[in-house]
Amino acid sequence: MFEAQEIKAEHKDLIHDVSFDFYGDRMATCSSDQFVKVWDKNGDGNWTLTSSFKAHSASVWKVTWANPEFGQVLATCSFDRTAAVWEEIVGDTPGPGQRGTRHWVRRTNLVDSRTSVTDVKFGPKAQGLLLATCSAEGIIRIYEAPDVMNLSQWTLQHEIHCKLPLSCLSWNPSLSRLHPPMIAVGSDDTNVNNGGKVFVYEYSENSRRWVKLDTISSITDAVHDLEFSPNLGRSFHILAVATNRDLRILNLTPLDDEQASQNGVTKLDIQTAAQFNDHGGTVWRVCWNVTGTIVTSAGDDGFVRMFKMHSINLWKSITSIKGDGTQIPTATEATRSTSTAIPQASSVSTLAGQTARYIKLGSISQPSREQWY
Amino acid sequence: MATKQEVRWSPIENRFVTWTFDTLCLYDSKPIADCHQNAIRISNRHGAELIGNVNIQNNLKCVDIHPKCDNNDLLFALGLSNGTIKLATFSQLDWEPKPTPAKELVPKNPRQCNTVVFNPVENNLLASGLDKYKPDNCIAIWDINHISNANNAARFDPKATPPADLPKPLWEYGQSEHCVSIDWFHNNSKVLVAGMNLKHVKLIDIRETPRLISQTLTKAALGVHTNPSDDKYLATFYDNQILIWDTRHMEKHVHMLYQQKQIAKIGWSHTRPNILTCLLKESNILNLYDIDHPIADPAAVMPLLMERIVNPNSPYFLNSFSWHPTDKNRILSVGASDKNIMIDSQVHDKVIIGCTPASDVVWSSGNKVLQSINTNSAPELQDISSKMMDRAKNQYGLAEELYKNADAVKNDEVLSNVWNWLHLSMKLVEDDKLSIPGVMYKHPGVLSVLNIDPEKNPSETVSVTWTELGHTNCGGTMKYYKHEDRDKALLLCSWPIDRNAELLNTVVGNLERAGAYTRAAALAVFNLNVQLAIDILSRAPEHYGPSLNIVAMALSGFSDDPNSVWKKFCSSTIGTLTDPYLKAMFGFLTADGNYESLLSESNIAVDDRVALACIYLSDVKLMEYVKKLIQELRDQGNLDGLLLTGNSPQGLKLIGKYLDMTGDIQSAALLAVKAFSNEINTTTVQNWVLNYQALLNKWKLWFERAHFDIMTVKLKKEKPLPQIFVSCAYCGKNISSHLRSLKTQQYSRINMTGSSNKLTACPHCRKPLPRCTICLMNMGGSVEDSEKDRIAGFDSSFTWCQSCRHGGHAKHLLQWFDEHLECPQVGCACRCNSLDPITTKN
Repeated sequence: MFEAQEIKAEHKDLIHDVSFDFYGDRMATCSSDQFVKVWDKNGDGNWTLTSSFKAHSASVWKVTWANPEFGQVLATCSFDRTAAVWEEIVGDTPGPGQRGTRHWVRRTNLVDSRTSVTDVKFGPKAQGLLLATCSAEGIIRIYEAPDVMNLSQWTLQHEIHCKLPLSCLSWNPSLSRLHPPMIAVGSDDTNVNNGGKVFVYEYSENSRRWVKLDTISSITDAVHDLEFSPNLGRSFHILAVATNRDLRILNLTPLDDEQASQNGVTKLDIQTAAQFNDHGGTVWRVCWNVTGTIVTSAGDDGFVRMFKMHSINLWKSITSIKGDGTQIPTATEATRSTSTAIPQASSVSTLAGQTARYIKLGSISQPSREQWY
Repeated sequence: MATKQEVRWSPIENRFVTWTFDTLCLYDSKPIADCHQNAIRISNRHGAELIGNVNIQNNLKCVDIHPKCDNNDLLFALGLSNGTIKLATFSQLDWEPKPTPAKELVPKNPRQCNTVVFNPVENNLLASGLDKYKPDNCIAIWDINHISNANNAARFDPKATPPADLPKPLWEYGQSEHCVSIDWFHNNSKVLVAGMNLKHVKLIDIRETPRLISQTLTKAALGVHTNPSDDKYLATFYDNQILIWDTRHMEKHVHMLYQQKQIAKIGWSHTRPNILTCLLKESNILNLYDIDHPIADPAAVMPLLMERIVNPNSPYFLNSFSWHPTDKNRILSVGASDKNIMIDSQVHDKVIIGCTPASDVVWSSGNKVLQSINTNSAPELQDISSKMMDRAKNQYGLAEELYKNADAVKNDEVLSNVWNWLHLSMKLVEDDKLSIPGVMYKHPGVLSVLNIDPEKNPSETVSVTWTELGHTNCGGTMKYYKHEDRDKALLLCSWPIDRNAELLNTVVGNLERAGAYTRAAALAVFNLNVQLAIDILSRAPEHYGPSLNIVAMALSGFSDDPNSVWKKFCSSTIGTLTDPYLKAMFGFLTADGNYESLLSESNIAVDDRVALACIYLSDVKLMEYVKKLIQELRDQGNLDGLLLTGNSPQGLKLIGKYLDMTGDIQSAALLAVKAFSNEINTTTVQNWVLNYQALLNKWKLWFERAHFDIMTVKLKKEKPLPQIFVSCAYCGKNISSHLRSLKTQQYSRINMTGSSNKLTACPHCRKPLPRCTICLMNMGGSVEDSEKDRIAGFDSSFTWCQSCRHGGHAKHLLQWFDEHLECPQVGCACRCNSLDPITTKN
């Protein structure tokens, strides 16, 4: 058993994203209350609020940190159709050992989108200072700061049209020189007839543009979140996708193909490594640990669940934690609690002295799908 | 008959009401543990107990519950098909067959009552909507506090004529119109909205006489619902469209939501602001729309609609739903009455999550709170990342001696074996026991030492009879192979060569000390020393397993006669043994030259299997076996395979596979750097090194990272490139590269003199280099010092302040700042020295 630690975030509305800097020492949260809050870990390992600022004029969907090499830099995106880049300014040091005052300054406002900007992510640092956004109108935009010292100048390098409304975006974090920059995006379009909802793009050095490598046709349900795992030198990439129905873990293996290496476009072999419907419905978010061996998901059942990699194609659930962190039943406890619950509807008899009324609950075929509270 | 069933939570906590056209039922929902045995299970946490049910004679059309409840009793307004509205508390209704002292509100002309609604602010006001009747109004507003009881009691005598002074409505509206739905606004008690004639949505002000505020022509006049959290918004529907209206601009709707099917019911949540719920006909899911996101500039953006689906997992279609009045996560849905479905579902807030490199997982729980746990704190949540972090902190992989690295991974048998083997193979190479023609490997694998040519240089076959070995009751012989390459392979497996008794005793002794008695015994048997095996097994301590003595006994009856009782018995019982080594031991003695099943037993250590193959397999079969095993181990990513591959490119592929399977980048990078020094510059290894460095950086293990870097660079045997260059201020050309080339020339030719080379001007444009601010000599020249004979190189090197860019000879500057604070350059007030925190500290 383990105990959850509570952090009072005190946002005035729903929290939409939490993000950590490279070292996990700083945390940023954003909310529908249009504010972004920045937290620092103190010596005891507790989070203290260091900044809170109004970032947009509507719900802030996502917040993300740039590599510390570029300074203390955040990017946010919002329903107000913009994305913004923020830099922390540290004032003059009042004396030795003391910290100067800090505040966040908006360095740029990216206003190209005509609809809500649903996700924003900085690219791998080897590519320089790149920023990708995706929007509800179905366009991925790649921005670059040509001068990393000047964060107020961003040029729109590429626009990729995806046709479906986009909800989430992830850069492939691979450090290898053999892997060109890669982006996966997901669409929350609910119409299954519109085909695959996850698209994988790669930057082709030859043609100097982004090329679509694949549409993952096995995922036709709406996608709410996706994330590449840290590559860690593996020969393949792992992509976790949160859909309306389940959590998917996909292995994307770049193939050594003669033809592919000639035209400079990678060929991918995409396999579904695991599929979990433990949440019994929509999965909202996914998140990887530092080695890409544990994926954490959050879903409609209000649970946070963790899955661990045992081998390339073998993933197992290791824990599920109730959203409020109070109860942490393991999988075995969960089945026990449902089996000891009051008798099933079939044994419900007439209420004495009153008109009979039989109420039958839907029979639940899959215990894991059951909500049990 | 499938009857439509409706549901509604009551103002009394945790009680809810369901009704069909003829029955009204009141339930109490409780946690399952407190439930009556006959309770109905509505969710895994809650059951519902039936408090009572009431039969309604006239067809029940609509129900509303008075928002306030007295004495724990609910006041209902029941709209009937004859237009009468029955006002009664539940206890009044339930008390049958005694006449209910209910009040009745009767319209002048009987027709169906479509809707009754209590005013949420002024609770005594009740609005009712009726079908069309030519000369009459369709909306009536009653004040329930001003209805006398006396009049109504008489109504229950069916024969009695209706008294002349029936309760009159306060107001009436809508002459010869038809009204299907009405709703009050929640903050403005004097305004109501009505959907009329299937084509109008009307806002009516009742402050004095009912007055029409606005009228909108639309088909969507069904299910008029005001938003309890914001009077601005209003939802109506028809067919398969939901329309959202802004009451300030009723001319046109703000939103239209198309549904795939006809809509059965819509409703707002009282606890979740701006959440509209929609149930479709013949469907078992509920759609939720978040219609409003706060926007500073409302003109700029249309409110977004976020869709969410609640699936109560009902096997049948649903009829109705109701949000729990206080618990914002609960929604109760019901199906048709004959299906008897009541499901209390949980609708959770979206949970968002984040993970840190230090294995903290943080998620949101509601608006205000984040929860965080550290997965390293619970053993069941630990994985390779926590192992790697611990190992890195224990200086894993940084030791010069390879076997020391095995100590850091003691709890991982495979990894510690690998490091021990690397140490062994390196020692063997150093002692020149494994000379392989043509190939120079630091850690040669079995595959590279086995170079047997079956044609030219075949292995020699040796036969030994069991009698010679001291088993007088045996008549057969054992055949094995000998070759110098096989001997080398045996060395790599740390097996004794040619059944050398002394070596065997050491090997076996080591195993015994480690507690591996069965393995030691099996090794003895494989080396044809059955007596030793018997000794080992009988020596084994009791706690290890009393059966070992029995096994020793069984072994002492060994006979190789195929017809002997021993052999027959062995062959039949061998399958019941669970210990792989005991099994292998008896399997070997009864094998009769067929070792295949033995060699494919994956529970036996790879080195034992390979060594066994090296002794007892023929040349051709041996090579086949080794190649097959490599393939197998590589597919499994099993590091034991390094014994076979050594540090060949194949071994690197094996490590790659191991990395793919386990994510252990640490061991992969360390093994590659330590053992594969000839491959260190390949992209694969470089990539692993890069990834491991990034991981150490993320964990802020700076010292470990630095040690690793130092080790890598050392093994690379490559000089790191300079990072700072000096260029001429005039022509911009690089001076340092010229200096370097000058130096290398010197090394080759005239370095004997030891004179420092002087360069006071740019070699390209001949312009002088900058001067030292103190001695005013051009840079590049050496510092003259009369006190000392030898001048250290550092004294004359050029240094400058990072801030004001003034500088000079290092020695001069150090001397200057011993006595001064400001920059030596005239006119510059830079406090160069104090800018450097380290020098200030000193």
